Amino acid sequence: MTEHELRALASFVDLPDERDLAPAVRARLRGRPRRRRTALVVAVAALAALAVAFAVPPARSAILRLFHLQGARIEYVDRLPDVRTAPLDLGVPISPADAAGTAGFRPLASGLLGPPDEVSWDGSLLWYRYGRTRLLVSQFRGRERIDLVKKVVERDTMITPVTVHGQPGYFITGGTHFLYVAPGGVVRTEPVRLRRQVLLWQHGPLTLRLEGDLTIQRALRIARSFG
Amino acid sequence: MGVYAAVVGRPQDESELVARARRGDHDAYEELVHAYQGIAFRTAYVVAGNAADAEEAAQDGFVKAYRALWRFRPGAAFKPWLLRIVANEARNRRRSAGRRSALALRAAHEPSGEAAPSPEATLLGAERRQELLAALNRLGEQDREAIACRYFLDLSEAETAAALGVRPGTVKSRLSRALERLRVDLGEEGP
Repeated sequence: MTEHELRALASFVDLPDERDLAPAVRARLRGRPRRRRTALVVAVAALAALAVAFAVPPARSAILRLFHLQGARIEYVDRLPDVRTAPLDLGVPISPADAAGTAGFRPLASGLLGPPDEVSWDGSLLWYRYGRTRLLVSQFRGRERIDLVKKVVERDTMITPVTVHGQPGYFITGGTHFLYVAPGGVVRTEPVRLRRQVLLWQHGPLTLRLEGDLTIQRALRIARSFG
Repeated sequence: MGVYAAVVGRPQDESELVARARRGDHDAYEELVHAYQGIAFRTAYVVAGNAADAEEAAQDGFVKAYRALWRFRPGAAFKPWLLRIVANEARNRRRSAGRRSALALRAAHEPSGEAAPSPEATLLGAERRQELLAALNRLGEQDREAIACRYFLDLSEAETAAALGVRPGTVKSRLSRALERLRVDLGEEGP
């Protein structure tokens, strides 16, 4: 018996015809988060193994769905991890004129919001704070980073896919949510802030995040004003 | 999910498709599904042992692979990474069903009339095929999977290793051992 014989045997072995899996896979990828308790239980069971790999310290929650943008990942979990919150640290204040040189990319500005009241750099993200409108915008080169920003949301949170200038984004509202900024694997947390909505979107090589007391329409208007 | 204005056009190379899929581009991922659904399904079939389980395993594997793309190392080969996930799905199904998989010969393969036999048929007569496959099905799951992946699906050693969830060196030793067992079973031991 030789390897040649085994290779020849291949053409006689009954291997079923190829199936077109793409339509079913696409339909499943497009599915929305399930909100019903019974559906959640099923999803938790099915994804239990996956959750181990995606564990967020110090607690573990079953991940029900994932949403990706360049450099950003949103985990949709059955319960939030039990983390200790800390004051939000926006890094070191810098002048708007120094923003591009410090961040290493040309930051986008909003024609609608005008210049920010404060600009800061935390080593990974460039932050704009708009005091009067109580809005917070961060941006970074998402195309070159893998999951720099990880947001964990619970099941009371609604995630709505949106399009900004032809590129994908997500509007996140309801419940509470956390932002994890993990350059170099270091995990930081920000406090839960209620009644705040978040829009994450891509713009060319950049990924932006807008946070404030926003409707989806207003968030999209502001996002589309960045260029 | 939004539509990327900049990616309309001809299919791009694999790394570009993977990069786009990582950014949430379902169209790019669908191209990858089309490219690998054949080998994914056949690999699942070899492991699971029936077409229905194989189809489910391949489909689940593609969905899980998409959701795990953030872990995929840019520049690495997508096929072995995918096959590892799909084969795991198939293996789980086979275990939960508690059955042993077996391969069979296709029916009605003999040429009729004066049609010339294929090179494979010339090398391997009908009786020899039955004999070989029967011996193959008497091997353990691990040995049979290794042979099927390497010789029937024509996977490389690295791809076979990924599908089996072992190191490439283990594939070599497992194949060598499996071939030896086949020879013993067929009464073709060396001098």
